[in-house]
Amino acid sequence: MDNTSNGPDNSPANDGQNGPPSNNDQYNELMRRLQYARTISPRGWMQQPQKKMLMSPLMSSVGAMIAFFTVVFFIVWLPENTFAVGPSKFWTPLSNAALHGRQVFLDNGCVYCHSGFSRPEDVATGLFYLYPRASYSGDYYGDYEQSPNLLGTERTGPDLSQEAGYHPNDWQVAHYYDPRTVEPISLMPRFSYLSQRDLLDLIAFDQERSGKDGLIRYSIQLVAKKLTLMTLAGKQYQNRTIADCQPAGKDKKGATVYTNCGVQPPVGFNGTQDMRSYVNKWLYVQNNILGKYGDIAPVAKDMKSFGSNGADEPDEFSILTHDRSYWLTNDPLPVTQENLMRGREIFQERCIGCHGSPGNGQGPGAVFLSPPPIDFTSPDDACCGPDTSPGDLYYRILLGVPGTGMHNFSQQLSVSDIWRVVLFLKTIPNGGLTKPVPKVNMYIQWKPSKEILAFIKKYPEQNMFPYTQKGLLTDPFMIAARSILPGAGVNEKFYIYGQAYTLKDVAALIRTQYISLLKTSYNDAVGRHEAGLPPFSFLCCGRNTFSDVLPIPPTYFTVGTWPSWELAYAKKEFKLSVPQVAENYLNDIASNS
Amino acid sequence: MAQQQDHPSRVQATFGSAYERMTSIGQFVEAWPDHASRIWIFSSIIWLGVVDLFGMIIASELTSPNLFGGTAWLEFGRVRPLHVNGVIFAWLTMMYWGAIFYVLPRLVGTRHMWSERLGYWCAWLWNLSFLLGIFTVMNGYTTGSEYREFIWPVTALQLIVWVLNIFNVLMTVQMRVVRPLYVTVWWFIASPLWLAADIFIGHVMWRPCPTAGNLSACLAEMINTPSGALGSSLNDAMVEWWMSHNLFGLWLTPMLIALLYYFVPRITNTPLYSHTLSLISFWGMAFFYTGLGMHHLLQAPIPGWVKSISTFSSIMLLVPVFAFGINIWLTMRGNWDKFFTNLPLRFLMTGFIFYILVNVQGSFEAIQPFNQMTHFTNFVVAHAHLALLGAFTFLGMGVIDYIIPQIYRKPMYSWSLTNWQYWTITIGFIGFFLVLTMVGFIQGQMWAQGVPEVNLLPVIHPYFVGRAVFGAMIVISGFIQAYNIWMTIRVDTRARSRQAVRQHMQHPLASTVIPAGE
Repeated sequence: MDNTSNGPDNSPANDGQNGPPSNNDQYNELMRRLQYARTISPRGWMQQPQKKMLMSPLMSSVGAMIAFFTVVFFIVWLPENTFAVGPSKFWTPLSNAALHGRQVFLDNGCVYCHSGFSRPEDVATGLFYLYPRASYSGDYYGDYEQSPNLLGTERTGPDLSQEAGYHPNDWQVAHYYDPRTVEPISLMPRFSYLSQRDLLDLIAFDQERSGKDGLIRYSIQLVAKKLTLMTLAGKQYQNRTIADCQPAGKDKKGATVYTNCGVQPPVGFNGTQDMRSYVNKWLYVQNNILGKYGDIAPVAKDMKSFGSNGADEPDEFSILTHDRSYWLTNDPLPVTQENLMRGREIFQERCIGCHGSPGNGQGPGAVFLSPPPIDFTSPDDACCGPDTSPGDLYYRILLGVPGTGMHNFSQQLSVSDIWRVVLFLKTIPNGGLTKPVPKVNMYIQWKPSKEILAFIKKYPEQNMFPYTQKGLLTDPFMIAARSILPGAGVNEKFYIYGQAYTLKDVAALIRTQYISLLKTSYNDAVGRHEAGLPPFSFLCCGRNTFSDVLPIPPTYFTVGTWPSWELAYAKKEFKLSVPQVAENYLNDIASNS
Repeated sequence: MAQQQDHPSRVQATFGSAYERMTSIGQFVEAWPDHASRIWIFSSIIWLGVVDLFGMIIASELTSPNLFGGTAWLEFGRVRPLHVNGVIFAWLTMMYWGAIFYVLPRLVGTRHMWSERLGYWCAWLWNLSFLLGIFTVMNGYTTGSEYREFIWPVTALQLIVWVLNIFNVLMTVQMRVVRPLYVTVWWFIASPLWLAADIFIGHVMWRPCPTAGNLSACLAEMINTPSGALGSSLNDAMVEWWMSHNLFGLWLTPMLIALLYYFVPRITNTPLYSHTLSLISFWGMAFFYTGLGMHHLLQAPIPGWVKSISTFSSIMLLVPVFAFGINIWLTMRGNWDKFFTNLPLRFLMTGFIFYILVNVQGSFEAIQPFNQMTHFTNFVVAHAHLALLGAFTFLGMGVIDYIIPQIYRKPMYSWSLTNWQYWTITIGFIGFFLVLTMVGFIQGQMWAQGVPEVNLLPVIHPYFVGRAVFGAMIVISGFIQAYNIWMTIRVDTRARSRQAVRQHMQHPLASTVIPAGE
């Protein structure tokens, strides 16, 4: 190499930007690299690609498009023109309100966090409450109303394809106003900016999007709410029947007005109707397990009425009572500091939105809810006093209360954690929330009354599974009715101000409600001139029930789905045979006295 | 001199026989006006900052959902589509068109695009369309379909601009001086054409108003109600995801390949390793990438054979990707020192590495069992960011940091700032990616055990805080670049640079490194 011609050059003409490198070392380095580059460069014709590898503009444009459309034919045209599925057995059309709600759902980008189809593995892995069934192709039948799709790609929040009917409308209102009011750990944005119409239509979409099984669940919510409000109503409604409690129209804000119910459920974000005055009454009713407050709710005045019809089952029942498999149980967990602390942690994480951070039932969500949430602070009430069994509270947390904002926690809390919450609830009247640490001595022991103890003695073997042992129900509406009246026997009666109702009456109410929802949707779809609308007989009511057209497990129709593992777990972990706990307690008392 | 004998032939192998004619023009750098390129590039730099801020808004909302107290137009579901569409159509697309308008005349030996003026006005129209898109989506006017949220009129405007740009490119190719087409030009021709067809089909452009009879009703419908979608939900989903994934497959990825095929040989001064491999990657992409979009619906109730084709295509995609990867890798052989000394190249090659990673990851995600565990989780979000942030944004930053000094014939205002830009986004992105991947695995595993989504929110909250922090680093990186480029244009860096180079060269330990892009 000729180094002499490349000496250092500091002349002004060479400003270091142009020309050959002006440094010997630099030049040598460059040459070394060029040599190396040459040794690894491709050989032969690959160095002169333009001689062999010509791609003309025509090839790059037309050829590329031909390749593109070849694939498009197989992957787009073919499926689009061969894949046409009819309506599934679950499919229902959307009402006009729900269709507009669907648009609100789209406009606000809800689909980015809430997918719109549940997968077989979701059902298989035990999220049974959230995903009672996998989505079928036919669930998405419908030309205009299912467009564009809502399948979604992400689940920051739960999938909503099966959401319908799991929450009552007032819960939805509170949740849209600020999700933290009813679900303190939620990440969902606030939708308090929605107009009244948008909000109500969006809720209508939530309640109609899951097809027939969703509509039944929604009907359960509506009927349960109606029954609850009837029960809550004052004595002036004593002679009304359930059928009298009807939507009577809309107020000037567009909210539905109910008449003859006694209580107006607040609707919309302006629904600041003060529900405080009803709180105590609600508690009063809720605690009316054995008819102690018979002037308000119609239940047996004494224990004689149980089993008075000669059967094994009591014949009178409060509508707000619960499955009797748990109502005579004590808490299987020991009252320890750790359990109480864990219970308080969960309470503060999940419950304070409605029940309030002092536990007084006046959380930020309470203003929307009708009936209002329970007040845990009063030791006089059976809620947290010695009257109420821990099993009662456990059951309400586990399965929720249809028609109220209390939803099903069976999948969200473990069995042990629910029992811990129950332990903790029993300390609230003694300062479990206000004191720095809930202490063991704050715990209020369950002290069943003499009547209950007598009842336990008389009926030592209570039924664990109402669905199996009290007669396996096949009619979906009967099953639905039983989720409002858990544990009620087929012939049992309950009273609302002197009017007697049976499970069948409630089933008929649900059925009426369901068919009316279905007809509204169908008539709206007819009015929209939807193409390919099947006849109404396809949707409903071939016989007395539609179980003939809908051969699916009955658990789809219940709001309070009992997870199959729950009782097995309880038995295994806690050695818990339900009446046994009460019996043990009874024996303890007997041995101590 | 030996070096001068070597130099043109080596470049000739890459850029064709007209290279000498081009160089004989003399100061040919000045021959390119780059009017159109500049405006697209500047817009893209600004949009990068804007869409990063959108991302920052939604990342913050995921850590504290009441941050904006229920402000409608800042709601998560309205800002997220703007972030997604903005990254693809405002930031990356404008950067790509800027790069096309810069690279194409140089490759075909013309002094400029067929019409620089057309390109210039197209850039403004594109900006306008995106502003319209932001306005409409923030006010709740959207189709509500992921990756195609903009309502029909906005998309139509974008499509018009797109077709004009295609026309510009084809006419430039038509008037070329260098007759053989370098591989980059193949992609420049094919990729915009593919995307135009993709958007036209995917947005169902021929169906702006499915039900309305007259014009005014149609206008109301295309703004207020679902428009640009097929009727049947599942068919619509198939079209949507086919279209959406092709945004990556037929536009973002081909342009990454095309630009790496240009810039890596250009910066390293090395011919492309193999043109056979580039041919394989071109036709492989055309056939396999077009057919894989439905792997987004592997769990959805759509026909099984469509899923099979998508999975097959997704796996087979590794062939063209590795053909391309090997090609670049072997071109880089012997040049890796430049990776550490040349900042634009460092950006480009980091983007390249992330690109290979995202393809391998994506192919595995399209396998059914793996998909069961990752679908719906933040693993997919991490994957999307590996592509759009890791691969394409790194590439874009490298391209801009290379092009701006070339267009203005100045070195960057501060290469040290560029270095900061590199490290903030690298650390920010890697942290971001790892955090989201961990969230994805947590979600997938916990869901499989029956834990509902809502219970996981407190669990993933610290990760979301981490995502916001790392995301802030990414935003900062974008602003560093914008500041650096603004100062490059404003300040006379050339004089400063001459002085610096002179001092540099006089240093006894001076190496071959020249601080500018080349």
